[in-house]
Amino acid sequence: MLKIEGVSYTLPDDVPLFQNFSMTVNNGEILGLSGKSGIGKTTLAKIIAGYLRADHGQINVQQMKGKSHSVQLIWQHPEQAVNPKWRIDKTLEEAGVPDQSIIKKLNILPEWLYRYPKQLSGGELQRVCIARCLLAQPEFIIADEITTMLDPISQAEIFKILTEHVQQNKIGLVIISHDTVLLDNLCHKVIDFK
Amino acid sequence: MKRKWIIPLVIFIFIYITSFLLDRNMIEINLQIKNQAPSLLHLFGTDWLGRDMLIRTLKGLQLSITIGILTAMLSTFLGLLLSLVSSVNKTLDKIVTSFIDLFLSLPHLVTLILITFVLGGGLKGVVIGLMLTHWPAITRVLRAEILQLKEMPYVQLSKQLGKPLWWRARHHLFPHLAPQLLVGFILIFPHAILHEAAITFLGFGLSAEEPAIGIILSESMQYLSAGMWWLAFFPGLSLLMMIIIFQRFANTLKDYFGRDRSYEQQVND
Amino acid sequence: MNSKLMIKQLSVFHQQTNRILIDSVNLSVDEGEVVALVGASGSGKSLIAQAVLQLLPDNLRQTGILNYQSRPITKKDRGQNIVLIPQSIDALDPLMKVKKQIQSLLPAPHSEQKVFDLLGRLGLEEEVASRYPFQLSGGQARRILVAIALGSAAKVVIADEPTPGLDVDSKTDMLSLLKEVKASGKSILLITHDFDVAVDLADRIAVIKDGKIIENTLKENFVGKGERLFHPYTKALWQALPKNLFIRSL
Repeated sequence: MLKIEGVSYTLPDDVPLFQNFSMTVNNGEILGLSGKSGIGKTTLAKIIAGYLRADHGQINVQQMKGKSHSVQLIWQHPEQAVNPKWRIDKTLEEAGVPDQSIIKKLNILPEWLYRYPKQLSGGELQRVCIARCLLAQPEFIIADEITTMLDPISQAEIFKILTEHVQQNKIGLVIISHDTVLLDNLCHKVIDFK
Repeated sequence: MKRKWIIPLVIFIFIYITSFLLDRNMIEINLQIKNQAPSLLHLFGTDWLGRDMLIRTLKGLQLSITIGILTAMLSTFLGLLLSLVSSVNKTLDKIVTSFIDLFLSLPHLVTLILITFVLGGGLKGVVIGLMLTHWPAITRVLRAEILQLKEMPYVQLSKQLGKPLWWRARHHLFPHLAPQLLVGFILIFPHAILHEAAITFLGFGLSAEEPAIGIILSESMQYLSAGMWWLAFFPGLSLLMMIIIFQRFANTLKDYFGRDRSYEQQVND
Repeated sequence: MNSKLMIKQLSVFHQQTNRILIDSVNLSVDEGEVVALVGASGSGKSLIAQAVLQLLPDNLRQTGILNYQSRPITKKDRGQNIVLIPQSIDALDPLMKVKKQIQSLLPAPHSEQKVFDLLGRLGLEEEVASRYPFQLSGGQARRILVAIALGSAAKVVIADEPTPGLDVDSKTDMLSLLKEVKASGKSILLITHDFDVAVDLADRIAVIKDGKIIENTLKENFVGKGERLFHPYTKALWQALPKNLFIRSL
């Protein structure tokens, strides 16, 4: 279980972004987080995944030294989340030994492995990012607006694969999106952030 | 496109290699042909000891270029080291940036003379002096690049995947810094050569028996008033030409890397 | 029918490689009509707007006919009869106050009152006119950009991705602004990747894929499971929307 208790975050110029936020995510649960832009959804995601430190509050899952964090974040812009000078195979290997079943599950074609990120479309690249995330064997995944830049078909494909995988493997998934219809369709529970 | 930088580079390398083929003993004293103006036999003329100025100039260029390459490499390396140090935390960054500001605010030549003088001149003094005065510009560029890279999601993500600091520096940062290092090296090089010649001319640099362009120029000063213009004209011109040739190569290469980046930003929608 | 903007056999090539980016596209926008051009990123939809406005990058070449009111588009038409609503406030001069900026872009007379009227129409205070672009909020910036198009004498407005990555409220806000433009009788060519935006605003929807228009149909045909749609890709696109079958469509 991922437990977030009383987390607060203040921007550099003393503007409080959010205060005293709590939530729990169970293994195998799909949780939606909706809300307007600019109220700190992405910041919260970064705090939970260990990119940022909260001013106050506690999170019960922390990164072990030299190991990958058991909460992994999938970013909104896949082209910024992969090193442009690396081929796809190296990008995947960064997270661990490429597991063929995961690569297959995400419809990553063998020939993509020798390409550079620029040679893949946004939807294809996002699938690579998701595969990398799964290869890191996280217990919890935070998907921050991962399909905002994609067409509806890629969006549906990605969420289908992701939701099926997390339920089979008892991974907790937090989907952050401004699209409440999408969240209602996918999540067991939707939290309106603030 | 390729011709634009290949030709200057080939000329440059050709002259450098030729200068190696010439034996130092070829600069022999022959008082019978002293003070001769340029002729077909001695293209650059001869000096007051009858030495052939063409050979002296080529040997001088060889020394200059060697010092240039050596110091440019050392400065670039120092820049890389300091920019990596500054990326560790805020305190170290402040220290490095204030050093950059300090060195950039002082006139280059003055710092160079000071350091070389303290080190007692000679080859060692010149090389260390040049290294310690040419690092700030490249350090600033590299530091900015690293700051930007550290903000990129894929670099931050690497840490969350459990990769240690040195691994991230080697695999994520270095491939992006390599072009900057190359450009930095190439831009420092002509600077270093000119500064070496300058302090040697002023008498703080290499010792008088070295066949350096700076030495040739400062010695020729005494004979210029006697109308022996070729003693200063040809060596000075050769140095200038070498710098210009190299600068051309450097600029094209810089544009090449600049163009590469703008291509990456191309919208293909 | 009197079409305001007519695109006939428009093709765009890559100059060096001759790769075809836009392949013989036909599209017309009638008077007072909103036509949405929907496509994924990389489909070439933005290139069409750039071709109409002659804003293509130097390495691309275009062929075909571009007509404004049944005559070829002239240089003068662009900016006067056909205007673009840019994606972001970056398109404005950062050193010029909003009022001056609007005045410089609108047809004469350049009276202050005209600017205030325009701002009032879009729900902005007069005070906003004396701000610099960086002092505007996202919503105000959108209004200024729309105001410039609305205030112009142009009959055709091209909106290129007016809702990039906006949350629901901002998106609804932008849509109502565009509806205001539509209500003023102008024709709109709406270029977007967002199906919802297209269905909400447009009268007709054209779907572009790999540089070709594969479907050009009335909005009313986007209903149910998409039985009235022609191309399988459009059908799949429609069904994949979260409000329709979504992941069950696969």
